[in-house]
Amino acid sequence: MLFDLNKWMTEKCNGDVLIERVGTVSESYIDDILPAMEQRLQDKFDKGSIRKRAFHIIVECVQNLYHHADTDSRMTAQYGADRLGCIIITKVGDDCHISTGNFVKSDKTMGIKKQIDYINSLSQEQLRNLYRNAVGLNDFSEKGGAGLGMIDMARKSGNELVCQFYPVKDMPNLNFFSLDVVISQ
Amino acid sequence: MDPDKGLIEIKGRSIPENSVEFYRSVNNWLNEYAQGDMKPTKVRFQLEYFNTSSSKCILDIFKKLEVMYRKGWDVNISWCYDEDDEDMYESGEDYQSILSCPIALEKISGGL
Repeated sequence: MLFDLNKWMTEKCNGDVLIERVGTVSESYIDDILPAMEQRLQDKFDKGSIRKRAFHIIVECVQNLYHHADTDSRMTAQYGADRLGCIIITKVGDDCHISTGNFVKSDKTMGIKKQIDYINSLSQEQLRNLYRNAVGLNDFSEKGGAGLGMIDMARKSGNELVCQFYPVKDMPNLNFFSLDVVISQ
Repeated sequence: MDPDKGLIEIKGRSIPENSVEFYRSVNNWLNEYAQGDMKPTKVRFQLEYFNTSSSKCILDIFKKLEVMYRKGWDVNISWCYDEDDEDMYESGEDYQSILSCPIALEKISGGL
């Protein structure tokens, strides 16, 4: 199924939409979105623990977009944004749903999928051990590394990470990477 | 950071996009401090949030403190957490499990 941004956005905007942003992921994008998000979480969730976990995961998600969103000239021309990043946060029942989307180079998709499948196969205790091992590794750069962000999202949400890769029309070198995280009360 | 009093406090939120760059000055300061005369040193981490890239930089700080401890420095490290913040408590436990220097987990009531 080829990727359709509007359709993806519509699917993700299910429930009480706290925030919906699409655009070039820049430092100002992050500086803008995080305080707004924190206020919305404060307004919508009574329990401090879910607010805190949601904010933590949102920080990781937004910084993943900042560091890992790929681009090419056709994508920029089609979507009017360089390094496009999408984030939608909704309240569904008592849960907080976080959906992010960005383009990634097609040759990265298998590695990302494999990493997420592995993280999803682990118990909370195994995730904790994996995190402790990963944080001590040296293969870490300014962009992060060792899958620490993903491990932390799974740990803090207590739920599986759901990912999907969509092929993009006329851009065989890019896929749209969709990631969903649910934080339960 | 107060070298005269031997006091290092890291407080608040640590969620920079470029954490390695952000922490460079702290690391440089600590390297210089560790070259000086040994003195009792109190280190307090009192964080409300930190992102995963900061977690690696914080570990690097701990590792420097661990080296100082092994060399005989009197280093007293506290990892503070809000009484309702189980995740921050677990993060303290994570660092305890990785490092050999003592890290006290200090509960703070009523918010950090």
